[in-house]
Amino acid sequence: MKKEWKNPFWENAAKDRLTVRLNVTHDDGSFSTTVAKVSKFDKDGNITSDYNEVLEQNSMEEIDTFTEERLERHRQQREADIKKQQERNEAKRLEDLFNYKLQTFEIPEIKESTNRKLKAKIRKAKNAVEMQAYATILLMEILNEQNESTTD
Amino acid sequence: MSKTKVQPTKGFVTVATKRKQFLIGADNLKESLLDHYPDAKITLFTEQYFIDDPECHVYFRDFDQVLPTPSNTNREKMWGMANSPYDLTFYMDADIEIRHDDIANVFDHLEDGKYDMVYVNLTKEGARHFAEWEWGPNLYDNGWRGVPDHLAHCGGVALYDMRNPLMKDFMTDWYTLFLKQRNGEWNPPEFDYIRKGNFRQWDQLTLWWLIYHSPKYKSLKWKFFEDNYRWNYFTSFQFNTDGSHNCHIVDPNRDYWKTNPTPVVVHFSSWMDKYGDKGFL
Repeated sequence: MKKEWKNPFWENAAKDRLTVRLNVTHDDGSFSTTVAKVSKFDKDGNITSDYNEVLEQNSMEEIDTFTEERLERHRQQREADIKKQQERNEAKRLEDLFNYKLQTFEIPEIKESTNRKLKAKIRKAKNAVEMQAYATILLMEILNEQNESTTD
Repeated sequence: MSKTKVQPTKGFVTVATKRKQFLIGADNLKESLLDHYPDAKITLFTEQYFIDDPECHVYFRDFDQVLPTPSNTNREKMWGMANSPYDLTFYMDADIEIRHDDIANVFDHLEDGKYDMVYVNLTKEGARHFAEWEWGPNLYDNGWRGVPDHLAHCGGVALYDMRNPLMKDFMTDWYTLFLKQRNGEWNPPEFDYIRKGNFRQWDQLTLWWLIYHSPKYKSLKWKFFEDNYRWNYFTSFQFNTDGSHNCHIVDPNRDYWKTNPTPVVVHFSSWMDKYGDKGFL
């Protein structure tokens, strides 16, 4: 039986526990592979034979390099995931804002209004608060005009 | 006597049938277009049912023309495209909003008669945003010069020159052939090669056939917009929190986004509820 310990990396800062890919070529020629956890010490405090085997096939420097590369890869992946989620949220926010705008334009007074300037401001609003503010200003103007025409 | 060159008429076309949501969308598209191009001529094609409904007339305000479609299928858009009242026409889906003053210059992309049609290229990098895109190995974005094995032309917007009489036939054939294709009544041999997916449901497949396989339209000259996705930026491409867009990701082989990154046309194709299941839109 031939054992190959590949791509080991430290699981902790104390460097007494490893995760490593173990490839085994059995005596009958068959092959198996697994991800193994290897502790440096057994329960009596002695260095384990598996740990020694890993160190025979991989230098400390190689293990440190694998560990650092893996951490860096994971850090980049985390950053990319966070960025992707932020982008998704922003797109969703703008989609929702678009729908809110169309709902605002369905308010009968706003729908009937010919005040292109204020309607353009509603359409170009960057967020719901800005949009509602302009919608309110437009509605106030419409109500004022209605009041004035009633007074006349 | 001096001869003066007759200037082509220029205008925009959109189509809204089946659901009032599309009419609301078309109204918003028209308003956003006028925000950026106050002199724009815009024609709405909609079904007679809406034209006859007085409650819908508020949506027709400021359109240059409101014309009826012959039916209310969800692909009356090609009929509208075929019957544009303008020489130079920019068709847009109703779930689009205009975001940039460059809309006023869109007709320049036809280069004064050099091209009959201009489309947005559905890129390899953007493919994951589309329901179905490729059925074989030959990809335009890989430099393939023959007939691509994918839907390269976006049907959401189309710029074309109706002064070429073939254009009306082209758009009319797109309409009639697609309806037959969808009903299984038209199945040209070129479709046999497509062994995956359900591409026959897409009008872009009909467009692909007309552009690459129809002998009648071989003479039509077409191109893709140089600043490609500025003319149809799908919301599924996403927006960054700093306000920037992702043309550099979905269109890395063009470089317009380095100098001119803001989309002219934003297409709310993903989340707009076209079937009313999610409520208002």
